[in-house]
Amino acid sequence: MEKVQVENVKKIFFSRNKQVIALKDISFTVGKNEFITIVGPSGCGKTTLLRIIAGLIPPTMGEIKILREDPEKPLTAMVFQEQSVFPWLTVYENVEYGLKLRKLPKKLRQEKVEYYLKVTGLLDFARAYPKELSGGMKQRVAVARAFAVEPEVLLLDEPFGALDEQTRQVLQQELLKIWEEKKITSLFITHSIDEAIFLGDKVLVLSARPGTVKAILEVNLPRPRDLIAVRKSDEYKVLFEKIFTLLRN
Amino acid sequence: MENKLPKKNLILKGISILSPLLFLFLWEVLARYQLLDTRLFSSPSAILTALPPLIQSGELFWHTYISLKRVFLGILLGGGLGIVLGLLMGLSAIIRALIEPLVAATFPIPKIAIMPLILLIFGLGEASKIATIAIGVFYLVLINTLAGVVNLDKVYFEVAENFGANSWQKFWSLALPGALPLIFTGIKLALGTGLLLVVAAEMSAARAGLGYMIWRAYDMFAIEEMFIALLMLSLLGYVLSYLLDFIESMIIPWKGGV
Repeated sequence: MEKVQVENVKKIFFSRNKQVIALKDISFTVGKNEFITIVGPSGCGKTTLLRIIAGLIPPTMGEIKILREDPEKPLTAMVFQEQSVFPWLTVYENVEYGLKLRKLPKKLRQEKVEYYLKVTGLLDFARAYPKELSGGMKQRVAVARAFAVEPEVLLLDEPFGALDEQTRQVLQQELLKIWEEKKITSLFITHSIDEAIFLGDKVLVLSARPGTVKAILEVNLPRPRDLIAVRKSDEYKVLFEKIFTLLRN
Repeated sequence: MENKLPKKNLILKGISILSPLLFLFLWEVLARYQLLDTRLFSSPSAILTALPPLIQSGELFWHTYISLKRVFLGILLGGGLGIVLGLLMGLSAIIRALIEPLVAATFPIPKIAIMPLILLIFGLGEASKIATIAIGVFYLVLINTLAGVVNLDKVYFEVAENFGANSWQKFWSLALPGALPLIFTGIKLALGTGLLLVVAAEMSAARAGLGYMIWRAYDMFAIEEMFIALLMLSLLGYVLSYLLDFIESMIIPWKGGV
């Protein structure tokens, strides 16, 4: 079995006497240790799809199967689009949050928190409260918090969408570096074609509402990746054009 | 410009210090020249002379202590219950649906209006005074706590859910800290109401407390004593709200972050 299997997922939202079909017949799989990016026009149900996979909302039809390999690990951990770092916890406590809920022993918690604070460059800010941090730093905390529980599957919902271009590029590269250490199976949502290609092993292209799978494209670029080198490559240019055309039609 | 600003601030500060002094001075002058009825308004010097005996006998501090204890216990009971119920209502739609109409129906009743009923139920002792304060304070803390939870960004709940938090964990790790700034707003309001209610409660059926002191001064026409009790209430309100601000800054170092 693949790591994640999405089978015929359909989601209908009911409001008064109106129905909105957000997702229609979504089926795809994600392999173990794969990084898949999902790109689509806004309003195509990307976020809805991720919420269904996270178990936050149920699908109207269809099924999500996630292969559980380690019963100790949580099934998913999500990095949200909006500011989701708890303002009342310090950076350290935020990263520790998921581990504490899982009642891990203190020593082990400390080890993991310190590791992820280090790789996200947050060690010096461990005792700071989020209000003292910039937007980019806050998203680093959110990323570290999700990574720290080392879930079976990592879900990232446009985590860098609200950041400025430069911060965004820095965080993309950092994310890849952290990811390459453990290669946690990941689903990453974005509306940026560039981001989708740079990060993903595969790019899943969704259509406008109702969201359906238009194509799944392999990204044949070696890792570790460098942003400049990726953008210069023919593979990038070909993929960019393909996705661009797919999204336009 | 850089030179002028501190100077201006200094002048403003000076005015703020001078205005109460000027007020006291005018009061004293008017009293001395019999332009004020000193039987009703006394004078600053007369009040100051009446103060040492009340301090030496320990009477003033005894009444202050009694009132303070009642306010404290009332806020502890009413506020504590308000926080717990407010958090539960914020977390559970069922509990909220159950309790909200009762709160909405009883909140508008002026709490002083139910004092006779409280006296009948709790008797003439301490319990009735504390109950009056607790009931009055309960609503303020409950409503603010509920607002604190309800106004929390939904994404925090989703994060907790995604990490597998159960209801108990959501209560402690989410609702309580998230609502804390507004809980404190509720407690600050409760302090003012608590002082109001303690004086009201002590005016009927009490043997001690600042409210009793005021009422006794009325009976004995000891106008200086009355003013001293009023001054003490003003001081209490000021010091306690300052103390609450301090506690708030200790407990909520992240304030302004939500």
